[in-house]
Order: sequence, then structure tokens, then C-alpha cells
Amino acid sequence: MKKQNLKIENNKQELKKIYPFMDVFCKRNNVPSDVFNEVTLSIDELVTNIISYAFGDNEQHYIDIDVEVEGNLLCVILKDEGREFNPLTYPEVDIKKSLDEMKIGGLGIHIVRNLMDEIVYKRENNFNVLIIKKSFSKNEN
Amino acid sequence: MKINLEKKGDVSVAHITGKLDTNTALFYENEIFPLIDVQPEKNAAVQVSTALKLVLELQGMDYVSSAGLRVLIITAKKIKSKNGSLILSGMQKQIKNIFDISGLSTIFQIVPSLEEALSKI
Repeated sequence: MKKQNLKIENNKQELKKIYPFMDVFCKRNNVPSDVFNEVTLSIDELVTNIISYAFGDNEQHYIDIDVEVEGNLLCVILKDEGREFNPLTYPEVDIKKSLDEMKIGGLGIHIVRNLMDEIVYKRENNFNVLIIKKSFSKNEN
Repeated sequence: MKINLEKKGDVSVAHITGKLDTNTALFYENEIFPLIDVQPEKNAAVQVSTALKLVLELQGMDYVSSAGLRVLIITAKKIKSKNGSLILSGMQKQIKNIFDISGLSTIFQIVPSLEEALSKI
């Protein structure tokens, strides 16, 4: 099973489904545990942002999470029908601040930028599409 | 996520296991913040047992997201405002990596073991 989909609602309780879904997928496809952790956290951060900011109403919406392993590359595509929302336009967080200066929040996308090899955002047919990629060595784990 | 609280002399130790994320951050706030926010004048008996010396024992914590980091930062700010001390112990490698990336390793005092935390606090 090299490809799998998880569809979740725009509700933060739904975030709980991501970890077990990725756990099963990564084990089946021999993805090393450190890569599993980093990609799962990245999906969590991005989907949290989508749920928080992409929908300006109280209606039910869906977010599609497609995961795929090809060779030694794990690729995740997140797709939602929310308003145009590109998290990559967030300004970089200054992590050299002291505790007093440190602002609460804004760390999510910073973490994703640092953990993933590649992040791409596109607006496609009224959908937000976010693609993240992480390569791994098959000898690890 | 589970939080088990214990007292070691005048130090409060919170053993945190599982995931600290969007869905568990509120539970963490409800368990930990009252320890710090307690008003000594309202309850003199609690004065010596407040969490102004707090160790978060994280050996069993296997996942933290930015929502979890947020409540840890608030914890540090609250304790600092009361001139207390906070040490994080037993952090797993993948959690330490997230702290490093987020610039939090220089803000928090992080030690390998609970014993070391208790001797330093």
C-alpha cells in the first residue's frame, strides 16, 4: 500500500485521526520512525492552521490528506476548499528571542519549514493545495 | 496524555506522558496552571507547596506540537513572574529536536534525568 487517503472534517477533534493513520501507513511502508514523527507533526501543524484560518463560516468542510511513498520519498498532499490561504506567506519567526520577548504562537509553520525538505503551496480550482516532501534512508530505523 | 503530580520536598514534579498537542493542551493548562497561579494569602497551607519549584518530567512524552510548546512557554512565563524555577527532565530525542528548532532549548533549563533536576532546582 504505497498510497492512502484520510479525509477529515474542519474540527480540531479530528486531528486525533492523523497520528494513528500515519503510524499504520509508515509502518506498512517501512518509513523510519524519526521521519514518521516529523511528517506527522508537520501534517498536524498545517491542518491545525487550515482548520483555524481557511474557513470563515460555521459550516462543515473537509480536508483531504493524501500520503504516498515513492522510493525513499514520503510525499503528503493536503487539499481543502477554504478561502485562499498560503501559510508560507507567514513571516519567519525569530527564535533567538528571550523568554520575555517570545511571542506565543507562530511556531507551527516555522517547525514545518525546518522539518520538511520541500513545501509547496498552490491555489488550484478553488482549492488550497499544500505539498510537503521528506526523503529518508531505507537503512534507518 | 496523562499527568501525575507528586511532591519531592518543596519541589512539585509533574510526570507527563503521551501527547501534548491541540487536543491535550487545555488538560495540561487545567492541571498545571493552578499550581502556579494559587494565591498564597488565600490559603497559607498551600504557600509552601505551590509549584514555584516545578519539574516537568517528560520521559513518557512522545509528541509535542506548537500548541503544546505554547502552554510550556506560558508555564515558563508564569513561573518567572513569580521568581520560581522550572526544569524539564528526561526529554526524548525527537522532542528535544523540536525544542532546538523552535529556539526553546536556550530558554528552558533541560536536564537528562529527574534526579539531576531535583539536585539543581
